[in-house]
Amino acid sequence: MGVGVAVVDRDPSHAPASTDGRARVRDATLRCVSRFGLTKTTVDDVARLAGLSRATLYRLFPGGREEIVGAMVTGEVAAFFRRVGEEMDGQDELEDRLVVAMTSAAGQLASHPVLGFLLAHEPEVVLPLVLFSGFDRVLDATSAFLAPYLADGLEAEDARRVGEWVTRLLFSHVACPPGAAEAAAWPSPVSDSFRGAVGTSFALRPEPLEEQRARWLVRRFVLPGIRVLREARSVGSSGLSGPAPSDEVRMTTTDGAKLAAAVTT
Amino acid sequence: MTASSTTDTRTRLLLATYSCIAERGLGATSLEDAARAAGVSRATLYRYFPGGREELLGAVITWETLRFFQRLAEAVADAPDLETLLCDGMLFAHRAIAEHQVLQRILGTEPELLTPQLTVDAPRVIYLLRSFFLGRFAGYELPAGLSHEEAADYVARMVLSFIASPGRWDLSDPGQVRELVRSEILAGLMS
Repeated sequence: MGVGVAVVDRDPSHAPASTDGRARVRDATLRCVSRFGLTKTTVDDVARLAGLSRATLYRLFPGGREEIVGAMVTGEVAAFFRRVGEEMDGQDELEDRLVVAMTSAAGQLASHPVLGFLLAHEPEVVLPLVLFSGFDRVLDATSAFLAPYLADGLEAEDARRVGEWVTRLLFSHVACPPGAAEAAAWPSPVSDSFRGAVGTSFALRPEPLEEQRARWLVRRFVLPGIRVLREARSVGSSGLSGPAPSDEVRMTTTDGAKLAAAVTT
Repeated sequence: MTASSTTDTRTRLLLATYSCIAERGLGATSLEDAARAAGVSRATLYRYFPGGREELLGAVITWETLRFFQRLAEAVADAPDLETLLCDGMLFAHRAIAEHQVLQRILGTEPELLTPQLTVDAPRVIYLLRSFFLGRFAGYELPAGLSHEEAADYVARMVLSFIASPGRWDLSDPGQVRELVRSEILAGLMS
């Protein structure tokens, strides 16, 4: 592959020109969709912006528009996970890994121009992918990705569950930021049109997650839950192969005593 | 027209529209269908739902969502403690969603007509669940640094998330539900 797209700057119109045809098509598709949306983006738009002929475009993407859009989505999703992984790789402590995973994910979702446009103008494209069974699929993918990073002293299935859990926390924050549920009182019987409701009670605009808030959620809820999972597994077992000292979850003296009691009885 | 009769008529209109949706789906339910089923004129429907068909269908979705959570609240009304309440609630909600024929059919055939309104309703459901749990938390002592409002908000969000998308958990299995409730929902409230 040729030179990659700029990592930090999410605005595709600022991306450096790429010599590789496929990368140029992806850049161009990102720009078109973030500006005009999915429905209005045509193969000609992409070809023009990429500086390629239709013929070249179809040679690179025989599947046409569907394949071009698919490649863009696949690429963006891969980049999303790669960045989250890079953030987690930089952290030794489980708590910190959980925190940066959430803040990185939220920050990327909040600043992605394609996602922003689609949520604002073509929500019907995105919403089925993140609700009900669509969200089950998201959970499956994110938990598989996160599990290796969360495996300290956790069985594989539990690591997957924790990965799912932080995805739920993140999605809930992104979809309904603190404050949204305050303003959105139950509609009165005689007012509230559908269009008006969309504008006033739900932003459909992902917000970044402050590190402080992410850390509070992790410390207050996730770490205690992980302790419960570990204790549940260790009860009845002959010995607990605990986490390596550098990987251990930050525990209070009381937690350590409780865990020791669970192991030795 | 008294306030209560206005509400009763509105409910009657919603119920009639819901029966149309149950029969033929969201996309195929017209304003005329709803008017005919309710035994009223189009003009009457517009008086209650000035936004027309779009507003009417949105209101029905919101109304049935509210009714679902009312049924859920009734199902757990006698729970002796928080853990039992949450376990019974999850089991009930999971089954109720799976057995909700109208919902399942729409999700299978025309989800794009449903999901925008559900997205709008999500903060409202969280608000509703939060109020419910605030009431239930009254007798409980929470860890220092965790207010009742924060705990209720957290539990409400998690409950809604699991009901809509169980993920890896088998929410028809009482053992798994108990494990879920103890680790992911209550651990932070008990520590």
